Amino acid sequence: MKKLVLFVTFMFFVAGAFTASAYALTADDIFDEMEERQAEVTTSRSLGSLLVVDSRGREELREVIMYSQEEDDGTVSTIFRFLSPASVRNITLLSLEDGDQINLYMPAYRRVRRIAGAGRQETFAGTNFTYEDIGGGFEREDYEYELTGEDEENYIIELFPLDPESEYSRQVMKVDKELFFFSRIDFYDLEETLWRVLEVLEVEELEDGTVRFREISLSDVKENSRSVLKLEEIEDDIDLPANFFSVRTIQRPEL
Amino acid sequence: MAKLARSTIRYSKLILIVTAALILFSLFSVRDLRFEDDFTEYVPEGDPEVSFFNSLEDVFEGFQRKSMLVALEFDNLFTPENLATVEEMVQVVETLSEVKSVNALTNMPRVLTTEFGIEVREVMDVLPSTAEEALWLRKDVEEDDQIWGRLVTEDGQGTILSVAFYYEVDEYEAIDRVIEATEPLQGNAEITYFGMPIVQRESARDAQSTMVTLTPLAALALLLILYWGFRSLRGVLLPIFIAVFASIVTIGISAAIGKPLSIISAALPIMLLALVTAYGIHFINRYHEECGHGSCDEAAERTLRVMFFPITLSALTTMGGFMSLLTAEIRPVSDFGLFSTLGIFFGLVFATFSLGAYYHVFTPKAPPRQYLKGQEGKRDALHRMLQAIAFAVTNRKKLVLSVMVALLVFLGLGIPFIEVEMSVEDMMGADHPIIQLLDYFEERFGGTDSTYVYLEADSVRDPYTLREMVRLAHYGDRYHAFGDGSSVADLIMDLNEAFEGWRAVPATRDKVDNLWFFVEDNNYFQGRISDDERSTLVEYRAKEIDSQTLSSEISDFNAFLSERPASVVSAAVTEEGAAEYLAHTVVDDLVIFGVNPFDREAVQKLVLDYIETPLDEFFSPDQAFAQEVAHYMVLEIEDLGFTPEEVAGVLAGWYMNRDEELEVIIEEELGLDEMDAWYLADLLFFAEEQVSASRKVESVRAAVSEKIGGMVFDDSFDFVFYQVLDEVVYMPAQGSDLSLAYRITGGPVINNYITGKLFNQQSRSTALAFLIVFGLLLLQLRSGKKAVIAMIPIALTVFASFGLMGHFGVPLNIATLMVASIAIGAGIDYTIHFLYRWYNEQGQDPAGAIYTTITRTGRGIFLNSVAVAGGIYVLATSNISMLRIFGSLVATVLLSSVVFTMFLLPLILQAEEKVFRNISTKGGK
Repeated sequence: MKKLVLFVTFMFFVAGAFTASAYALTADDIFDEMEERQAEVTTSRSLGSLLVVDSRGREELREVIMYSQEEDDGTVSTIFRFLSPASVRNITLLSLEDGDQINLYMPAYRRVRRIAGAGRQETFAGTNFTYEDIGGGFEREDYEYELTGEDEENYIIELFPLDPESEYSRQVMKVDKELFFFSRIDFYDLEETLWRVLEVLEVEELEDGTVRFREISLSDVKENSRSVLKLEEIEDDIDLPANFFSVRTIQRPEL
Repeated sequence: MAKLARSTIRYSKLILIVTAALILFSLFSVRDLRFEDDFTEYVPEGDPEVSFFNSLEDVFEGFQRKSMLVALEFDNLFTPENLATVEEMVQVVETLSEVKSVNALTNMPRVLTTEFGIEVREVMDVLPSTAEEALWLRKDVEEDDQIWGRLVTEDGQGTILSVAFYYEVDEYEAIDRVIEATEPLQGNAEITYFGMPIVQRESARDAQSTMVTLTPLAALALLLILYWGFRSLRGVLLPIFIAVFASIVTIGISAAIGKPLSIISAALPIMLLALVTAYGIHFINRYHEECGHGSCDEAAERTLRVMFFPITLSALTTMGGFMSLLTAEIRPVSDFGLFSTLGIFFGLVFATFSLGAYYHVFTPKAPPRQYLKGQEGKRDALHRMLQAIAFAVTNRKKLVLSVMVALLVFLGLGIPFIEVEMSVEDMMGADHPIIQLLDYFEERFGGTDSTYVYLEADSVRDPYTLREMVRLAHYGDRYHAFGDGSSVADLIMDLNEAFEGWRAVPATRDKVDNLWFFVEDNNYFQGRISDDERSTLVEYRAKEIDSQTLSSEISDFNAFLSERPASVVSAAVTEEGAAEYLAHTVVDDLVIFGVNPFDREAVQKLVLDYIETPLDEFFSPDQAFAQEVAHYMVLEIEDLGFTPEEVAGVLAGWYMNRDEELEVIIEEELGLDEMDAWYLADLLFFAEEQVSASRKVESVRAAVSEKIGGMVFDDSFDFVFYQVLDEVVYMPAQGSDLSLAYRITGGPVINNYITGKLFNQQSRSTALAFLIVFGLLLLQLRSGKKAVIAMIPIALTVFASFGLMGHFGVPLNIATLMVASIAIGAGIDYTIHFLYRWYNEQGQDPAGAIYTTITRTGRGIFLNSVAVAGGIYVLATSNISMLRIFGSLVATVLLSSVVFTMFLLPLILQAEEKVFRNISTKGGK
């Protein structure tokens, strides 16, 4: 379950953060450009699907609907609900304050419960992914970084976490030279073994020159598991009622 | 024979060169010798029980056979410094690429129910920095059954890291990496490691040490005995060298083909040394006789002519005994049979061809003094003893017979007391380091071994399946081998507690589905459910117990499982008989949870009354009830901007005056709009039902407690009592909705399975050994009568071996089951040599023939048997209990074989002679 939550959160948090223009020669220049050209979307509604492939190759495709909103304080609130299959239908997650508060609605119990306690570096309920992988984990202030090379299509930036508690020794990010989005991030563990891989499989260039991710994949190389999120219908800047991102909303049969 | 002897003499130098080359090659190969002793590999991989156990690793990702434990002992674990040591160690081990996961106090995930929901966190989110914080942590974990007594010792001094490795890693290397990484970090801690490779390595080291240190000791024992017998350096050294060479070649072959030896095979060189030495003794004894009666120049050829046949027959029969072990399904036994057969074969070759060649090339000038003509009269003490035996068996037949019969009766009385025992403690010995290691982990952390109940169902997600898992986990608590049961159902119950308020498996599939969604990414959860979600495991901690208890517990548990419904149908509780069956289930579950004895009928009636009482009866329209209802929905109420107390006040007021609908009162008093007021009212009605349900359960809990004498039913009984709320009842029915099958497995279960095979294995190998040896005797002696006579002492030897086992409390295990076959194969040698000489001496009167046989061939037999026994008794000093007992038993049994040969066989032969003579006399008349 948490894999999906983190994935969706990732889409909202990270996609914008690394969308940038194509004139940089240094890592700082690249990041500056990326920040300057972030898409400014206040509300959004997306329909999509999530494919989860576990270590044994078992696949399950789930339909999801997601709402997001950038709050006045700059934090993002999201709701995502699972539409299918029947066993998970209407299970809904409300994430507030950039994921600091997560509420879960279980329709069979008719009850919302708050999920607490997961730290940034802790896996949640045993999933392969940590909060550090997603929410705010790519703030450049958290890393030492350098542009280490380039190929025909990408700049290659290596990021070294400043946090001594980090589970990673480094991350290698490829930034697309043309559209300036990261096309891939390799996460290495403390023994320098490749652990996780984040790949952007499909992007959409918007009219204003910004880039939005359409399909993204997170793989755990050690566990041999993978999740692929595909967004099919996206509506931006929609009207949402006040208090939409609330406990009572997620208890409704229809959002 | 003459041709063979001539050829041997002709090619004597070539034979010596080939022998030397073979020995050198084997010595070179021995460097690669490995010991392995994994009891799950005792039976062939295709064996249904073992292959099932091994297949679990493919079915369940979380079924980790590759793992280890790291135990840390401090004066007090709960100090900031010591907790930091544990934390650092966990972090370091987690980073090793071989390590899949580390479970320890510092990172143990906990699902805690909070007022608002669920808190998933590690036991030690933040490292305590003060003594007070460390003490607080101690108090926190003391209440957690999953931690206290399992991850942390009851005295709060020790803790354990459970390390699981990736499937593809080399377990030995992975363990070494963990040891290398953790030892430098141990700080104030005493550190102890445990894992199957550690046990196997320790066993292998001991087995190797037994082999390396005891083989020379056995050789020394043989040397002393033989020197006493032969008074000749060659007579002493040559038979030993022959045996050593046979051992080296055998072990070398084992190493060359890459076949590891088991612990019991450590006895192989010593056994071969003792047994093969006999061939050399017989050859040299005869060679010296031949030398003494003529020139030594042609003595080698003459000896070969005379001795090749009896030595070959002797070796063949011994090989026959060992070959009978080849049919054993238990691998160490069949391996022992294979290599000992090979060893005897090489012993035969070396003791005839090589020894003949040697004596031809290096001919001595004269035999030892006692073999020279004219020296026979100056016999030694051994000769005088043999004379006395000859006298007794010819002149005191009745006395000898009486003593023999009395001895056999005494031994027979012991046979019923033989027990099968395959526990590690019995095999290694209570004082062995491995047992001390096992004892330490058992005493401090509840054990190291695991047992499992494998469940196969139409769907593991089904509430009934999950409930059965909980029942099985609790039922195992009454056994040593099935303690601390756990399964994925525990996690489902934890989550249900967070969502519903009680720790039980929900009765409906949709609730389970919701919870399943929440935990399906959990590694523990995912790793214990098969891909098709049709099978899962209940895991237990197994204590080390004796084989009898283990067998009895497994048998009892299987009986319990066979009584569980194989298939069930779900029925509404309102259907006829469903409520009664539900009450019956609740009472059954009380028994499963260990409540016993009590008046089942009365409790069942009481429970049924509660089941049939509607929830309304537990509704109480007062302030306290309203408070409880409001707090049940605290998260939703706070989301609306109120406190539970505010809402409880409105609700309590409404209870007093229900003139208006609740939503209207809420609109008026809390100022909510119509939609939100309706929403809150709906929530509160739902919460009322939940609170009423909870009160109903508490009521039945108290009533049952009172009924059975005030027993306190803590939260662990939620599972049992919350069933009274079920609207769906699972009732047994053939071919119905849901079928279930169970199978017990795990290391101790396989051990028990192997133990169960021992009696059959022994009977089969013993019978086969008899058959092979009898067949060989028949071929060689060409007389059914002679063959039968030859078998009598050996049959009595086997009988004696069982009697000795019973009297001395020697259990049947993989080592001792071989004793009968070894006794048949090796003990028959004495009989063959005796008979061979007896039939050669039949030209003279029976008493004279007996005298010659006993004093001449008897000398060889006696020296042989004492040498064999002396060599094998050396095993009694091994570190490994199984080898100690095995060595002592084999040696004693072989000595008893000599006793039967020297005392009973002469009586039988004289009787046969008398009968034959009478028949001849009568025929002559």
